[in-house]
This record gives sequence, structure tokens and C-alpha cells, in this order.
Amino acid sequence: MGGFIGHIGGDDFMMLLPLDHWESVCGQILRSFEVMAPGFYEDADRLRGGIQIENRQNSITFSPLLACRLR
Amino acid sequence: MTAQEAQWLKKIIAKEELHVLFQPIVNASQQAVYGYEALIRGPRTSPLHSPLRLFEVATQAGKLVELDILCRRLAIYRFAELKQPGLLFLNVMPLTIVERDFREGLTLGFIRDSGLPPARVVIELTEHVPIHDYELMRQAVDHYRTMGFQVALYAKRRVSDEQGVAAAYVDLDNFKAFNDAYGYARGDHIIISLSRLLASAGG
Repeated sequence: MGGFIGHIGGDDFMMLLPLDHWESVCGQILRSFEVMAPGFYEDADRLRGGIQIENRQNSITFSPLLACRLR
Repeated sequence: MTAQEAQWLKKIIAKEELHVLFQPIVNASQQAVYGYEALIRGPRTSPLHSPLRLFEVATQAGKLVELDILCRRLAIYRFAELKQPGLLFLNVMPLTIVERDFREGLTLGFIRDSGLPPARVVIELTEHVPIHDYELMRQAVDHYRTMGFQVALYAKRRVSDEQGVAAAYVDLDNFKAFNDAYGYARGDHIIISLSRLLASAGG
């Protein structure tokens, strides 16, 4: 698409996209990541729709599946 | 800078109470981890946990160069100790080079001690402190290159607005929880998958 992708570090990326294409590219990225995300998890977490984490106070918090965010 | 912060800074430098984190850097066109950037954190319980505040306080206390050199030494030794593959990216302030490293060759000394080959170290010259003396900077860059380091100079990339360009920032929700639960190796796999997706969609 003639864009520029830069890795800022960690899970932060930056994209420069031609104005004609940016909406379709962003839409495609969001849809594709939504399809990919469940595949990164073990079955139990995937069925539960996220990860249960026990914190230092022994209470359990829930973190939903990974989601891609574009700003 | 509060008196408490000044006390903490003194203690942190004296006891070397700094924590080094390694953040993977992905080559967006080859979609592989090709190195790690060293990041520094103060003690979790201190007001100087954030590197921004840590370096601000060090600047005010006149300890910026000393802190920068300490961070570099700890990062190099830790990277060698962990036997991390790939390149080590070090953020270096131009001021430090000009004041100390240029004369004393400290970085090369640390690297020799650690056993890392200099070719696996990339010196990133950061822009936190503006570069005024371009001639001296150029000499410093040459100096590092002669010693066998790679040098990355960050110039702000100019993008032609002839056709119009949209900028988008991409990040992941719930990534920290994933890393905590599944570990950094699987976290890195996510980053590579994401970079592959971005490159195929927009690159």
C-alpha cells in the first residue's frame, strides 16, 4: 500500500498511510487481529474469553483477550 | 526536586539500585526480533521509579552524566549475563559522550569486560538533550564507529505531504496481562505477528 510501518517498541507501532487507503487498511488490521487473537491463548483461557489473574491481595481479576487499538 | 528525591538519587547511584528491562525491537520488514532496547527503572518503592523523573532529578542535581554512564554499564553487563541473542540498543545522551566517554572510552571498556562483541551493540543518540555542537557530535559518531559500534542517529523523519498521509498509532489492549500470564517469549511472538499483519496490510 506504500505506507510506512515503524516499531516504537513493545506493543507500540506507528503507521503512515496514504490518505486514499487509510480507512480500508485500518479496518483490515482490526478485523484480522480480532480473528487472530483467540489463537494466541490456551483452550481454557480462550473459552473463558480472557485470563484470570490472582493479585497480591489474593483476589482474582479478569483480563479480556488481546485487542488491537488504533488512534 | 524535593529533598526526599535528592536523597533517593544519591542512594540509587551509590548502591546501583537500578533495574534494567529489555524491550524487543522488531524489524518490520523481516518480522523478526533483531534486538533489544535497554530501558532503566528506579526502585519500585521510590519516587524515582519512572525514568523520566529519575533523569529530571539527576539533571537538577548535576548528576546526569554520572547516572547515564551507570545505566549504560548495568545494561551492558545485564544483557551479557542473560545471554540475550541479537543486538543491544543503548540510549546514550550526546552530553555524556562529549563530557566523558569521548575522552575515556568508557563504553568500550564495559563491553570488553562483559565479553559482548562491539558489533552487537548499537549506540542510539537520543534527543532528550538537544545537539548544539554538530561538529563535536560528528566526531563522537566517528569515534564510536571506529571502535566497531553501530551508531543510530535519530533524525525526525520528514514525510512528503504531496499526496497526504494519515498517521496511526497502534497498540494492544490487555498485552501486559498476556505477558504476565504466558511469559515474555509468547509476548514477543504476539509482537512479531502484529508487525507481520501491519506490514501486509499497510507496508
